[in-house]
Amino acid sequence: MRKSRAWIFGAIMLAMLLALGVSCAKKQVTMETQEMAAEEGAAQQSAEDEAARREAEEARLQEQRAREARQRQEASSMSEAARRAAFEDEEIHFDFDKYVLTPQAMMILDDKAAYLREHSGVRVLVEGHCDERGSNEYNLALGDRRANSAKNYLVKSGVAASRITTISYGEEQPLCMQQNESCWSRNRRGNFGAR
Amino acid sequence: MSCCYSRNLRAYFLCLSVVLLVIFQATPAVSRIYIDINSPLQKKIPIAIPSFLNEGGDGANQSMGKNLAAILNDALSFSGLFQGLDPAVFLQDPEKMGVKKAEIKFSEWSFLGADLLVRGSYQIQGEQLGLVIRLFDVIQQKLLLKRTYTNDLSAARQTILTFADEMMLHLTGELGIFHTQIAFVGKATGKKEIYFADFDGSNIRQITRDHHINLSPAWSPDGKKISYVGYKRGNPDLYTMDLITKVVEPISMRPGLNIAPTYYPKGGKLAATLSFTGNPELYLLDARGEILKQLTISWSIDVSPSWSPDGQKLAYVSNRAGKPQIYVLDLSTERSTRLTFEGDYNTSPAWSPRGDRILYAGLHDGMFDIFMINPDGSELRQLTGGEGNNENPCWSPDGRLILFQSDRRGTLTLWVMQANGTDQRRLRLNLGGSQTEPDWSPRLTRATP
Repeated sequence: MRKSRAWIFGAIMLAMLLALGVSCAKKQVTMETQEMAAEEGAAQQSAEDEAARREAEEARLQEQRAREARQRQEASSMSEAARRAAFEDEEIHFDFDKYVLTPQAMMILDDKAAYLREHSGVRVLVEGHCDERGSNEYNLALGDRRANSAKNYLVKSGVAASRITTISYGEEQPLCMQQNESCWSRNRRGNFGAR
Repeated sequence: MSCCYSRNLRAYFLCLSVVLLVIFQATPAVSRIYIDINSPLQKKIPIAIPSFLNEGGDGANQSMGKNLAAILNDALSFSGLFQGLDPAVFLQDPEKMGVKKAEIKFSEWSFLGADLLVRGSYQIQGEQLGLVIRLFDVIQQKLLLKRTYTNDLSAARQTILTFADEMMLHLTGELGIFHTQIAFVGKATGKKEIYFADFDGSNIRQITRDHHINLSPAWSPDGKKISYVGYKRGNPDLYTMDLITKVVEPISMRPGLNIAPTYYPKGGKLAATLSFTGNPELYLLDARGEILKQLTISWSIDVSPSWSPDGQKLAYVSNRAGKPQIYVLDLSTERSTRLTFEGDYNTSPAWSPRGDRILYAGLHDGMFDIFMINPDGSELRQLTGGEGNNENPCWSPDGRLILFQSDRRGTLTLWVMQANGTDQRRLRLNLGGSQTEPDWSPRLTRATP
């Protein structure tokens, strides 16, 4: 009697476990479906993002090409003095505590490299500057790295390293003195002097 | 009023007696027993300094005795260890009060709350000033110190400050900071030039006149030289000025940065940042600027070295982990370990003269503040907060005071606080323009320019 009771009890338990398992599996299936849907959505999203990125990249390239064409046109009509002034006037800018070149800075440097390739007698002084935040000494080092980032880019673009000298002014020569981001971002710059 | 007597003073005067006993037995000076700077509850010692008594001679005037007392009172108050009592509350007319122990009415001084009393007298003969100054323990009714000086009348302030130093030596086992100078970068002329002032901001002198940018003044450990960064040749180069001959010599004019000089504590060598390789690295230079050793090799910025007082280690700033943080280089193992992990932007380390603390400036909620940490990374404490940007901290040579720059009143000016962050006050510098990058001299045995 005892044995058969145990069997019955075991069978009931097994049945319950199975039922539980099935319901779990069911839940899992529903969840998987949801996840798949989400993944599908994400994939679609990322495809859209990718397309948007490509579009933006295309737009950027187009803009660059247009700009280069415009500059070539301008250059042919511009006096030498004006071209040199343009070379010296256009600054590059950096993010806070960064010395990597932004895509925009690279575009500006492309123009400068083109000018320097055309004018092989011109030497350039690259100045690295920082905003006022942080220590004077750290900013001197940061400005040094910024000037060298620009120099290295010009060298990679075919300008002889011997034509480029760098100097860091750290935070010592700000263009503007207000304590806000628009002022700070103007001060985080690379300046170019032709000699 | 009897509570005035009993506020824990008995305890530390018991300590004082022990210290004095030790000192009188001619054992090496014992410091930090009578005055424990590490005690957060440390109270200022109330001290009474009545007008010095005129004991005859030439050219005596009413204000002389008052001035001498005021010089001593201001200097001792500046140290942060003493609270000078207001002479207006003194019960006795200083002109009618004796100078010797038997003539001092100690009960009246202790009634006013004074623990210490300085009683001085002076005599002027021609251009000479004679001074006799006594320091009394009011509660024990004891003469602690008596000094006699004869000096030029024009050097009266220096003579009083000499007594202040001797008094500190007597009470703490260590000289005070009353013969020290502060070097800093001032922009009064519109250009950044190096300036000196006395420890309290008085006696300002412009040291460079380059009409260019000058930065980062650093005292040599013997106080005879100052090294700094100057742009006068169109590049941030390192210069050293001999303060006796006034001769300035360039010591490093390598391409790129030649910045952040800091003297080795035992002299002769300095650490600095050079970037002639294309990357700012730390180097050990001899006094003439020859490279003895490259101290860091990395792709990142390494700058602002500060020596441990034993010269075994260097705290410095590196952005090797992406953001500027403080690192400690052990020169014997040539290994660097990161010290700071709180915050994204920590710079300007300053190792304490006792070696037990490192100060730095950290960016915190968009503002820079001064922090203190132990060299093993423990016990991080914020010393300034809620009052502008506070940066470039440095230590007084006795490790009791911290000098830093702050823009809490607009323009950057120099401020002083106790080593525990209390008692923040502006250094009285009568100078326009910004004041930045202070460096406190060692104790000086002779007057600097």
